[in-house]
Amino acid sequence: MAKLIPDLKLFLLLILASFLIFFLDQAKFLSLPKAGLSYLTTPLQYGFYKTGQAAQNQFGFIFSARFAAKENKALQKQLGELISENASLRTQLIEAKAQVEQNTYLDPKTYKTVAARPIGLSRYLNIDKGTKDGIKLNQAVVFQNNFLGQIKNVGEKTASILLSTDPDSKIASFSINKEGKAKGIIIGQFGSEILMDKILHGEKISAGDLVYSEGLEGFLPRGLVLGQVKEVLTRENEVFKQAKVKPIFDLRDLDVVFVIIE
Amino acid sequence: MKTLIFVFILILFLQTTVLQVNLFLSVLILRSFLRPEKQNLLLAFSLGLLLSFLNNSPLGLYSLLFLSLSEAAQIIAKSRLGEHILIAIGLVIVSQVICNLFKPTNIIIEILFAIPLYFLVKFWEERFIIKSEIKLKI
Repeated sequence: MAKLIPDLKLFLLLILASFLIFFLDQAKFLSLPKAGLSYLTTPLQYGFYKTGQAAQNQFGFIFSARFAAKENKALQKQLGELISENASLRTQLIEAKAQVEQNTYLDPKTYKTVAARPIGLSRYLNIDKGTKDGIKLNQAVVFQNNFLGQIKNVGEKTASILLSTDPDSKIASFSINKEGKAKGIIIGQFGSEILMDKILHGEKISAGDLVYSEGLEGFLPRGLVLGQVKEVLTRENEVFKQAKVKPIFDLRDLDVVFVIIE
Repeated sequence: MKTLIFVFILILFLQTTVLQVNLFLSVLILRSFLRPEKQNLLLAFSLGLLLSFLNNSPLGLYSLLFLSLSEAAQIIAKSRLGEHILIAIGLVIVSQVICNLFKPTNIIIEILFAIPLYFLVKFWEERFIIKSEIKLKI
């Protein structure tokens, strides 16, 4: 037995000693020595614990700094996406408000319009709608009750507008004030000027009068505002008088325009 | 031996304050396996009492447990199975599982530490053993 279990006597002795100490402890006979020993071990345990806490805080700071950096990067990306989404929603809101306002000027029961955004301005104004959206040649382009131009070229997704300020643009027009009515033809002069030509000397027109479309061409309704008279040019030796007309809106200020498709 | 006792006491203080692993048991079992002698029983008894005191457990409980496990490791070490590292690792795992029944600790980390501790204890215990000379192949 002794060969099978090494140090058998010592083992049994220590087992008995353990049992004895166990029962003495349960009977509270060892309270005093335990209390005395705790004066020695408690400060040591406290020291180890505080050192461990400090080390943990140091490492914790490093990990949280790394995590914070990653979180910051992710949040910046998310912020970028939200700003982009916000900008898109604002644009859509502006378009929706403009559409609602446009419907108060042109009755949607009579005129079907398509909203389009200007995407470029050179000689012609380019918009982001084309044949896919129902745009066709010579359709009128308006903003509220103001005539801007007509479709000159159209592709699948974009179109170009011949503006009323373009020399190729000729539109029958009239103006009306307290003294009477005057008829003429609106011809573009480039820049931001329009000339109302072929006005009879007998017809009354003065600065500040609004000029409207006659609607004789067929592609635009009657009564759309073409501009406001700035100056009346009268020459006695000529058959007709002229008036300089300025458009109400600056094209560069417009975020959305409307094409009358029906 | 004095160094070993100091290291054991340090380990006991660490595992009752900072660490959540029972390192002392692993080292004791591995030492009992690698160097079966009566000093292991004395270490198991005395440091078991200290661990019970530091843990506020009933005195004598850990002593009984460590004595039994240490003696079992020494019996196995002296048998035909006493040369395999896997037997030593298996002993450590079984000891940790039994000890976790009394006080749960992070048993996964204790098992993972068993292999490096085996080599550490083996290196420490065999540091004064002279190895056979290395013959150069010319």
